[in-house]
Amino acid sequence: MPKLTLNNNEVEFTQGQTLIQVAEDNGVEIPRFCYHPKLSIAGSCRMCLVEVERMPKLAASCHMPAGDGMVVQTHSEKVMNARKSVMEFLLVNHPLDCPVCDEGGDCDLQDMSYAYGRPKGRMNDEKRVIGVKNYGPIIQDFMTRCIHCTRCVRFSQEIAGVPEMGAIFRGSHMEIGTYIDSAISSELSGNLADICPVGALTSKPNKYDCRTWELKSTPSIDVFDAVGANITVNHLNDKVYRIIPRENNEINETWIGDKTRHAMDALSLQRLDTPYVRNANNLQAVSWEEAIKSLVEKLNETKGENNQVSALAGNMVDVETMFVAKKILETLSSHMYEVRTDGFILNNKVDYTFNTPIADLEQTDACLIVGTNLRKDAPLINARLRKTFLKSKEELKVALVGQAYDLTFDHQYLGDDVSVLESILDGSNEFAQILESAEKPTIIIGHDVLSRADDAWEIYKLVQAISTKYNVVSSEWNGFNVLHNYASQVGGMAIDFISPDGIKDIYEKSLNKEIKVTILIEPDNIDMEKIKDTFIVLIGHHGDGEITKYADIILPSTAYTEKESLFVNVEGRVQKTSKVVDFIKNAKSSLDIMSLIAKALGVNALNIDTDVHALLLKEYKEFATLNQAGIIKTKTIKTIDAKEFKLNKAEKITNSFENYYQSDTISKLSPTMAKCVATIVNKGEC
Amino acid sequence: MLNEKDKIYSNIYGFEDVTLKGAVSRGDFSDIKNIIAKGKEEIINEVKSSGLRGRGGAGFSTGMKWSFMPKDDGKQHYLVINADEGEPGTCKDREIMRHEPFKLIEGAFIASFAMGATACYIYIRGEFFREAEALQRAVDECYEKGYLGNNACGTGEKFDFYIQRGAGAYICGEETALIESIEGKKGQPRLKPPFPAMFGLFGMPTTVNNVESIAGVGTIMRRGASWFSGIGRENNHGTKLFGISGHVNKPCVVEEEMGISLKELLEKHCDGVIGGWDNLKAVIPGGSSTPMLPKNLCDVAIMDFDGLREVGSSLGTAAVIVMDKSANLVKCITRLSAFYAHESCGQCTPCREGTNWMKQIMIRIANGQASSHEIDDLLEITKQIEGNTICALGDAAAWPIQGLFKHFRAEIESTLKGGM
Repeated sequence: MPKLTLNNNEVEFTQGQTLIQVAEDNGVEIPRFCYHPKLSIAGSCRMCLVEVERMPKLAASCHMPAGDGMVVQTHSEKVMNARKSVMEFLLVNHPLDCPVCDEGGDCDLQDMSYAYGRPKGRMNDEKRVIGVKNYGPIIQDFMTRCIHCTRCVRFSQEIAGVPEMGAIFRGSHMEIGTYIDSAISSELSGNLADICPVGALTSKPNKYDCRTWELKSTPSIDVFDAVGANITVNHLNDKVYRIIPRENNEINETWIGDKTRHAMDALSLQRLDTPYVRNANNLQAVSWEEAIKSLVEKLNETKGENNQVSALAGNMVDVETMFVAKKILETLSSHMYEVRTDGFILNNKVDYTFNTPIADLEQTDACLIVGTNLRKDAPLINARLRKTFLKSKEELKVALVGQAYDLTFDHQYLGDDVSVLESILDGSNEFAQILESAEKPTIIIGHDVLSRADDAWEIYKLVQAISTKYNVVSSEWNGFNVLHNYASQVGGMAIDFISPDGIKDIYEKSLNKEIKVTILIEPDNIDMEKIKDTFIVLIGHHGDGEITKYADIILPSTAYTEKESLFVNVEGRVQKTSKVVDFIKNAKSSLDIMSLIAKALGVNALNIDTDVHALLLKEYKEFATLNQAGIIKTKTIKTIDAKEFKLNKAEKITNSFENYYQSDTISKLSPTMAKCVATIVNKGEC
Repeated sequence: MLNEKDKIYSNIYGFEDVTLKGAVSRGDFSDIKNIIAKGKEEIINEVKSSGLRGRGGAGFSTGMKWSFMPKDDGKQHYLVINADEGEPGTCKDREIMRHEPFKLIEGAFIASFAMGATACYIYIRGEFFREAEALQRAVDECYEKGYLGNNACGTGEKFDFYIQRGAGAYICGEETALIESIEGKKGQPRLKPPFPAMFGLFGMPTTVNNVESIAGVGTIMRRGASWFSGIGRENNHGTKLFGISGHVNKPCVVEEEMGISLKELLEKHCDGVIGGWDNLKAVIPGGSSTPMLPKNLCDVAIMDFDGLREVGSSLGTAAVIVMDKSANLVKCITRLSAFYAHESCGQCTPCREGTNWMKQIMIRIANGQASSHEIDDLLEITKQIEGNTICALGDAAAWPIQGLFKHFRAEIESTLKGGM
C-alpha cells in the first residue's frame, strides 16, 4: 500500500484517494464547504487548502490526489493563515444574520468561523444583497447568505437529475438560482437544505419553527414507501419537528425523498384521540375498556362459523401488529386477513421481493423497468440507478415498458403495450440483445402492473420467463426485482398475512354478508362501498371522513414515530422504527390494541404481557436478523415455465400512482404535501 | 535594434497585400513540405532549441510544452490557440489576425503536426469581430487553395482549423476556462491536475498556445533555431511584439528584439513620453496585471522576461502602459481593480470576494475617504488572495495594487484622511 506523511505521521492510503479522504480516514479534520463525499469535486471554496512539500502553492486537499511519498501538513501556520483568509472572504458579503437564521447552530460557516476565522471583520463597505426567490414549497432561499459552494448546483445536476439550478453572472455578482423563478421539480429537493452548508437554502416548512440545539435526535426508519430509508427524527416536547436523512450507504446514502421529510407535518393534524363506539347512528367517545368490550362482544358473535371476520392492513402497518391480528383471526376460525389491499396479486410462494440489494444496483449493466414510475414509487432507487448510469459513463442501458416519464437519465422507451414484453421474450425486440449480452442484467417490475385486475399474473409469468431466458438470475447475481410501494407489504406477506383468494374475494364475501366484521388496521386503499355493510372496526391514527362515516368502533393508534416496531423493506431487510414521541396520550400502538383484543378474546398464549416479539421469532426465525438485505424472501421458488400467456392486449401498462406527494392517509393530510401538489404536480412538472 | 530582415511580421501594419497571394509572396508557406518532412521529434527539438518562450505572459518554453503531449496514445489531440486577448493594454494578437493570419495558420499546422493533432481550435475574443472576420477569410482561402483540409499544403497530412468566438469574458483567456468555453460551458477555470496535456478539450490531450507563440513558428522553422536564438539575450531569445499605449507621443504595436531597454523602446518607436523622459511617472511594462515601475526603475529596465523580473515586475504580454506626471496613479489602479472585480469568474472564494473588496477599498482611497491603516489592510488582502486561488486571476488582481503601494505609498498616504 502506498504511504504518505500526514502531519509528521506516516499513513497508508488507497490509490485514487484524495488528500481530504486520507486525512478523514486518519482522524484529521480538514474544514471544507464545497466538498461533499457524494458529489463531484468543485475545489472552489479553498477552505481545505493544505501544504504539500515541494509544491509552490497550497493545494486544495479535496481535489489533490494522494501520491506515494507526499509530505502533507494540514494545520501548519501557512495553512491556518490561508484558512483565516478564506474565512474572512466568505464573510465579506455574508449578512451575519445568525440570530434570525434557521441554519444557526447547524451551520458549517458558524463552526468554521469559530474554529478558523478572525475574531473581528475588517469589511466596512457595502455588502451584496440578493432578493428572495421562489424555489417552491420545500426550499426556502436566502441567497444573500450564499457562499457559492455550488453543492446545490451539483446535487441537482448529479443526484436529482434535474439541472434546474445553476450559477448566473460573474465574480461577486454571481448568483445561484433557478434562473427562472420556479419550484424545483425533483422529489429529492428537500436534500438541498441538508447539503447547503449555510443558511441560503433551508427547509420552508420548518421556517422559524425551532432551533436545532433544542431538538433531540432519534434514529428511525421511514415508512412512506417500501424502500425503508434511514432517518433521524428530531423532536421537542412530544412533537416531531424535522425528519432528516441518516446515512446508510446500503439504502438511501445521505438522501431522502420529500414525502419522507415533510409529510410528517400531518402527524399533529386530524389525529384520532380517543376510542369511539357507534351508538344509534352517532359516534360516542368511550373509554378503552368499553370500546374493547363492545368489540369483543361483536367478535364473539361470530364464533362457531368460519371466515366471518376480516382484517385489512394499510400501507404502514408493522409486522408485529399483523402477526397478532393473524393469531386473533385464526382463533376466530377466519383466514380473511389481508395486507395486499390494493389488489397486489403475488403471494409468498413466488419471488416477490427486490432481490438485488439497492447498493448492488451500481453493478448492473442493463435494466428493464416494467410498469413503474420509479421517480414516484421509489425515488431513492431511481437516484441509485441514475448514479449507476453516471458511474458507467452513460453506458448503462435502461429500457422502460409502461407509461413514459422522465427517468432523469437516458433510457430507451419501448412502449406501453404488453406485446412489447413478448417481443423481448422471443428476441425480436432490440433490447433483447442488450439483456442477452449484459453481465449483470436487472429487471424491475412495478407494483402497479402487479395489481392489475385482469392479467397481472400473466404479465408476472411473462417477466419471469424473460428473466429465465436472459439469465437475470444466476448463482452470483439475482437481478429479478419486484418493487413494492408500501412499507407494510413485504413484512405482511412474509408472515403470511395474506388470504387464500386475495382482497377481491374478501370484498365479495363482504358484499354477500358472509363476512360480518371488518377490522381495518390503519387502512389505505380500501373500497368502502364493498365493505360498508359489515361491522367496521377502525384502528387508525388519522381520521379519514370516508372511513369514519361507516366505522362502528374507532380505536386510536399511534403513528410510526410513536412506536417501536418492525418493518421489512422491499429488499427483504428487517428494520426497526423508534418510539420518538408520545403525541396522543390516549392512543395505543396498534400492537397494544391487538394484544388487548387478544387478551379479551382469550387467544391462546397471547395476552397483553406476552412478548410478541419472541413469539414472532419462534415462528419466523429470519426476523432476528436486522438491517440486512435479502433476509425476507420467498422460501419456495416455483419456476414458472409457461410458454403461452393469456394477455389482455387491449389494456396498456399504466401507472396508477401518479401523485408522489399524496399516497397514504398521512401524506394526504399533510399541508406541505398539498402545497407541493398545487405548485409542482398541477403545473404538470412532476 | 532589430534589423528589418530579422522581423517575423513583415506586414504587421497591413500596408501590403493581406490575402494568401500576398502572404505567399512574402514567404509564408514556402518550404512547408520540407518542414513537415522533418518529422515531429525534430520540429519539437528545433522549437525547443530556438529558445521560444510562450508569448501569452507566463513565458514557459513552447517546445517544452509541446513535448508534454502524450505520444502514440491513439487519441485525438488538439491544438488550441488562445486569441482571447483581453489583458488591458495588450493589442498584439489582433494585428497578427488582421494582417498576418497566414503566419498563424502556417504555425498552427506545424505545431499541430508536431503534437499529433489534426485539428486546431482558435478562440477569439468576442470583441474582436473584424479580426475573426479577417481570420475566417484567410481560413476560407486556405481551404480553397488546399492549404488546409485532408491534404494540407500538399503534405498528405490532415489538418482542420476551427474558429470559435468568445462572448467577452476576460477569464476565458485562462487556458482551462477557454477549453470549457469552447466546449459550450460556463467559462470557469478547471482544477489542475489533470493538466490539458492529459485531459483537455473534449477530454483529449490538448495544448493551448498564444497566437504570437504559434505565428512565429513557421519563420523559426524556415530560418532555423540558431537564427532565432541569435536574437536577444541568454534565455530570452527572439523578437517580440510590443504594444505601447498611454502617455507617449505615438502609441504603437512594434516588433522588436527581446532585451531592448524600455527607454530605447519608447524613444525610438513612440517618439518618447509626452513632455519628455523626465515627465515620466510610472510604466506598467507587461499588461495590466504586472506591477508598475517608477521612473528610476524605468531608466534601467530591460524588456525581457528576466530583465523585468530583476526590477520586480514581469514581461507579461509586453503591453507597455506609460503614465506621465499628469496621471493619478491611484485612479489608474482603481480602474484596473474594477476591471478584475468585474472579470472574476466567481468560482473560488478569495478571488470572487477579494477582487470586489479590493475595488471598494481602492475607490475609497482614490476618493481620499480611507484611513492610512487601510493601506496595510489592503496589502494584506492582496497577500491573502495571492496563491490561494484556482487560476492566476487572483494574483493578477493583487499585483497591480502591490506594485502601486510598493513604490508610491508615501505619496498616496499624504492624501488620505488622518494622513501624515
